[in-house]
Amino acid sequence: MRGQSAPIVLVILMAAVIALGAGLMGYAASYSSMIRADSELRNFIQSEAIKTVLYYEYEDEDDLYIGVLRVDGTFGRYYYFTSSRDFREASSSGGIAADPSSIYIIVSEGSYVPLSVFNSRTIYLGFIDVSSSAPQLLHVSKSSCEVVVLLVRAGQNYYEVGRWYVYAS
Amino acid sequence: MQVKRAQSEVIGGAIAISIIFLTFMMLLGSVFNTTTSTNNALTTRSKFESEKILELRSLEVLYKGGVCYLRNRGPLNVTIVRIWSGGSYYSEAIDLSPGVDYSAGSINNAPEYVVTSRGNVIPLREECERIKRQYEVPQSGSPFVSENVLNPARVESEDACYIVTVTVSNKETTYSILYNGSEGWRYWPSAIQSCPQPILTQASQSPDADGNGVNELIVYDSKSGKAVGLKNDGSVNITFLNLVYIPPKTDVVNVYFKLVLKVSVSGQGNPHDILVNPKVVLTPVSGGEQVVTTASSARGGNADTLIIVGWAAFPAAAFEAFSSIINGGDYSLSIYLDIDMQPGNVDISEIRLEYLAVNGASLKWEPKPG
Repeated sequence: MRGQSAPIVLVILMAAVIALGAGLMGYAASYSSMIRADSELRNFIQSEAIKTVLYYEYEDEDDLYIGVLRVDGTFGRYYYFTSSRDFREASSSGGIAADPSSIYIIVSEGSYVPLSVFNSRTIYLGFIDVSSSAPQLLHVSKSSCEVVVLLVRAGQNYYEVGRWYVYAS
Repeated sequence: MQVKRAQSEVIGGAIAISIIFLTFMMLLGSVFNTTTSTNNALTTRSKFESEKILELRSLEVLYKGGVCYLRNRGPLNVTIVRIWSGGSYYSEAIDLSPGVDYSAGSINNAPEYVVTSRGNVIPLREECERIKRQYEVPQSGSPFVSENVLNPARVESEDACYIVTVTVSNKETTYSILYNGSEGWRYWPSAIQSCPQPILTQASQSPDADGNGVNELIVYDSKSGKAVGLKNDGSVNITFLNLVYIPPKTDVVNVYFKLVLKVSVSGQGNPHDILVNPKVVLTPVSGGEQVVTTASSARGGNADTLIIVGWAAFPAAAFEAFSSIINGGDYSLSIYLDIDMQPGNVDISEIRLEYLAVNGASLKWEPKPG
C-alpha cells in the first residue's frame, strides 16, 4: 500500500501542476490579447490621425470648404459632425445616427473621452470618402456650427482624428 | 527518487519560464508592431509635409502678355485637382511636370483659386492682379489711376463724413466743409460724434477759385458764413472719415492731392512768405496707430492763388513701420497742412482742396446716385 500511494500523489500533483499551468497560460494569453487589442486600437487611431490632413480651401459669407486628404493616398471613410465649441449643441450633419457614448473626442489633455460627457442626445454623422485621386471637400455652413470634428470608425465606436474651428465672418 | 524529483522541478521550471517568455515575447512583438506602424505613418506624414511646402514654394504665378500662368519651378510633379471660380468649383486633373506652365487665360477669366493634390491653394487671380499692378503703366500718361474723390457724386455721397480743424497757437477750432455741388451750396459740419447731414446755405465765395472748371472743397465757418483763413502760423487738418479700404498685402498706397490757397497780400507782404508742408495721414477706422507721410513742401509764388499739387506714398510692403499698420482694413484719410507764415502783410484767406485721388486702395464712399 505504501508503495502505491506515491504514484497516486504524483499523478494528482502533476494534474494540479498542469491545470495550474494551463490556467496561467490562458490568463496570460487573454491578458496579452487584451493589451494587444487596446494597443492595436490606439495604433490605428494614431495612424489615422497622422495620415489625415485638413486644410482650409475656400469660404464665402455663409459657407466653409475644408479640404480632407490622406497622405498615403489610400482610401478612407471619415465621419463628421458639427457642433458648438463646448460640444453641448451638436448640429445634424448627416443621417447616420450614433450614440454619443460611442463617439470619442480628444479633450485638452490629449486623451479621448466619450461625447456623452458633454451631450447626451443622439448625434447624426455625415461621412465623406477620401481616395487617392484628389482631396475631398467637407462643406459646412458657417452659421450652424463653430467646430467640425472628423472621426474614423473602429468597431462600433468613432474616434476623433481631426478638428476644424469655424469663424463666422 | 531524488534524481526524479530534481527532473520534475527542472521540467516544471522550464514550462513556467516558457510561458513567461512566450507571454513577454507576444507583448513585446505587439508593442514593436505598434511602434513600427506609427513610425511608418509619421515618416509618410513628414515626407508629405516637406513635399507640400516644397510644392508651394515651387509654384510661381506669372503674368505675361495679358495672360496669367502658373509655373512649376520645382522638382516635383504637381497635379491641379480643383479650380475655383465665381464661388463654385469643378474638378480637374491637370499635371504640371517640372518646368511646365498652366495657362489660366486673361485675368478676368483666370480662376480665383487652384487647388493641388497636396492641398495647396493658390490664389491665382489675386496674384496675377498684384503682379499686373506692379508693372502697370498708368493710362493716358497720368499718375492718377483713381478718380478724383472730390467730384459731386462722392462729395455728396450719403457716406460722406468730414472733420475739419484749424489750429493756431495750440488752439484747435472745428469748422465745416463748403461745396457747391448738384444742389447748390451746402456745407457739412464736422463729425463730432456722428456724421451730420449737409445743410443748404447761401455763399458768396467763388466755387472754383483757380477757374479750371472743377469746384473745390472750402474750409468754412458756418457761424460767420465765411471761408476760414490764417493770419499766423498754424495747421489745417481735413479728414475724410472711413474713406478707403486697403486690401491686405497691399504694396503701396499713393495719395494725390491738389490744394488751392487764396492769399491776401497788402503793404510789404509777399506770397513767398508762406511755406506749406503737407502731410497725408491714414488712420485705421478700428483704432490704433496712424501712419503719416510727407509730401513736398511748397512756397507761395507771385500770384494771389497758391496751388499745391502733391503726392504722398505709403510703401506698406517695403517698410515694417507701414506694414504693421497698413495691413488691410478701413481707413480714414487726412490731409494735414503745416503752414509757416513770416510776419508781414500777408495771410491766407481761403483754404481749398480740389483734388484727391488714391490708388492701392478702394473708395468706400458710395457715389451718390446720379
